[in-house]
Amino acid sequence: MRRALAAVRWYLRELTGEAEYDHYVERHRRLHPDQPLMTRREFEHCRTDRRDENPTASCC
Amino acid sequence: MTTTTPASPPSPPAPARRQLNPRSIAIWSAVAVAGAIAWGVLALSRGEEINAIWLVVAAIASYAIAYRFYARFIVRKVLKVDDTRATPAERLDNGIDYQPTDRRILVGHHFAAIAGAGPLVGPVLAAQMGYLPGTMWIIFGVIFAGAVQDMVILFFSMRRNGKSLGQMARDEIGTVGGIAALIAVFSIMIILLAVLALVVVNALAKSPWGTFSIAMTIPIALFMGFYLRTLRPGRVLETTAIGVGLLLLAIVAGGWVQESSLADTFTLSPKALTIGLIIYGFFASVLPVWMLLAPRDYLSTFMKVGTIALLAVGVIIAAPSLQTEAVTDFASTGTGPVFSGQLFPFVFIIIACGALSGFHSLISSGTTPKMIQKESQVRLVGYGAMLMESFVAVMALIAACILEPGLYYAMNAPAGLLGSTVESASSAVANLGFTISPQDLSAAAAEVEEQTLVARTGGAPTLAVGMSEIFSSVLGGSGLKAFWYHFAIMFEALFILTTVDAGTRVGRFMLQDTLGNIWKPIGRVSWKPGLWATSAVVVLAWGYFLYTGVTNPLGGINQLFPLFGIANQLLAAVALAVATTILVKSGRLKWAWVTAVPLAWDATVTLTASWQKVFSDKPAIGFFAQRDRYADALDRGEVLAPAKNLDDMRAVVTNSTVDGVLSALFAILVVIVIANAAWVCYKAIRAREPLPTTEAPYVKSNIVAPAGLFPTAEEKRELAAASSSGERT
Repeated sequence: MRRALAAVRWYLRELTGEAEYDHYVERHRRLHPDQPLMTRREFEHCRTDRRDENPTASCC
Repeated sequence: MTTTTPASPPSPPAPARRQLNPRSIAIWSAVAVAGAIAWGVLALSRGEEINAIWLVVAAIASYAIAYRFYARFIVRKVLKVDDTRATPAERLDNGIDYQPTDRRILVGHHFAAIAGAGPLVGPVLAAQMGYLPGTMWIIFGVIFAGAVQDMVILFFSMRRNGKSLGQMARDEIGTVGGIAALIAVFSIMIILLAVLALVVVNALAKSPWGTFSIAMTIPIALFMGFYLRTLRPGRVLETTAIGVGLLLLAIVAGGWVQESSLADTFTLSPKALTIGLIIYGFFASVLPVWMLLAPRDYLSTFMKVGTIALLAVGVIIAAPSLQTEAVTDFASTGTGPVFSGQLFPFVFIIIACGALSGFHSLISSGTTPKMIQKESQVRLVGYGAMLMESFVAVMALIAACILEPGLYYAMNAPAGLLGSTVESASSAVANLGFTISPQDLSAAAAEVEEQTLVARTGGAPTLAVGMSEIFSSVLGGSGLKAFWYHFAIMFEALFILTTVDAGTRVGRFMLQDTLGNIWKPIGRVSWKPGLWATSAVVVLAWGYFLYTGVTNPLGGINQLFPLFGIANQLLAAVALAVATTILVKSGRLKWAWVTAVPLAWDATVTLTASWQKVFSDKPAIGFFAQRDRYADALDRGEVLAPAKNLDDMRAVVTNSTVDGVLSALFAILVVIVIANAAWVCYKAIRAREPLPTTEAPYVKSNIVAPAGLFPTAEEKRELAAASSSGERT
């Protein structure tokens, strides 16, 4: 039961992009450990604002 | 960067040929038998009521067999996927758009991007021909054409670092093909937005409940946007939960508003709604994404997936009977009121999304190919997601076919035919050969607490009545019917409005890109005046078609939906032509039928439909015949029904001309692209040397990941070995 709930939570976090920041932190620590990390706020602003310049369509 | 190298990719290791074990032979035989029985029941029963479960069984069994055998054959023999080869997500991983993404997440993303209102509207309209033609086309179309197109384009785009369909058309077919593809994409976008907006207008007109609930989604989305931006950045789940709560409240509150003195404020005419939508479309598309579009996206994705899942469960529990005939007379006479024309070619035009949708090739060659971890996952993500969309279309067809045919025609025939009262509608339906009494028609409207259900075209209200029928029989009884009806309207209108916003942005982006070649500043996406001007052009373009659709005495859906279908299938022809050309150019002539046969079918359907729309001498079908009929009457100063005055007559003449010219233009584009592709294929076959490939060069992959939804025993061992040796999984 607990495992199933954890799986659902993992799926929803990944699907909605809520987990993106965690991926960013992990990736940043791995590749550029010496450079400063964006805060969650900065990161989310960047992530959303990128869509202003790269619109993607969803279908009919 | 893509480099052009001779076609000599290292041949992938031949996949070990696993023998089918007795257990899987038994399982697959059982699936095949179940499917065969279900198809037999659907095809052979006449005159007795068929349970909708048979449709579900036929669909699922067919999908399972197609996914297991046909999709696997294409992946292994035709595409020759190679899991030792790194995907662009692995090679170019930048943590932004190129990012290896878990296949289970990616299939969810891809499904959410491809499935919208299309698979819900087309099947409802096609129910005019009976349940069988639509069902067969949805299921066989997706297996042999739609899902193949999605998967193959996904694969080819992935091998080319995620190139767009337009770029691939230019690279593989040539400049002419590329330009034709670009025009096709832009025009389908405009027609699509107009038709979808028309569906919303028809669903909300004269419905204060629906109008209030949908209007409330704007402040709800704005609140969510600010909440995510300033209070709790990135907490999407919590924000969505709050938003969904408010959304449900808005649906309930709509019922209160309808009973209150505010009802008149929210009772809007189709024209007022049209102007409101055009203004909304403009402002929504120029506001920053975080304010309105991003939160709306979360809400509509949640509602979409949630409601579809609910519908599937509902159909299985409620197990309703189909009221429609298997094949109606309209299939052969072509005189149906919902859309004109015979079964062939028009069922295959009206049902695009769910069977074969060219639009999907834009998604398959956009974001998804840049996120795929392993080449073999194209089967799950490309083919699998499209099967899911097809299943949604089957659900929509069921929801329309469980309604009394009399009610179905009273809702879906154009207002010009039905008149505006329940009495006139009842007698018009009787003329069509079906029965519904004025009392029943009023009672049906009262049950869902709408003023009227007469001529509520566009598919959404019909689907909503069908869904409320199914949901209320499972949960809540008839007391909740009105709630479920408006829930269904909200669900559909919500993501149509999201598509209107996102689609306007994409259209604007294309326009800026094209105009930027002529005048630099307009191409800069951050230059505000350019942004506003191009947004306004796109909004006015779809707004024009929306307005003509709303005011057309012949019925906007009746006139515009076939045009949308033709445009969508045209784009599919472009995508399948690109795929076939790539197969031939890369020395796979033997397998080119996999995309060439669907292409031939699609071209036949699209061209026949365009031919009839342009040249048919029946005014109900041919746009120019219709134009002549009304223009001649206009010259004589006559008014032909359903037009009510000379202005109506002039509107019909103008609309028929515009629609006829567009049909002809679409047909010419198809011919150009196919002829160009055929010439390139001919040259490739005649060439002594293999033509240069446009694939990105081979790089070895270090990622270990399963191909399908569930890892096989072998894949589990590989995963375990990889994680112990510290490789990326």
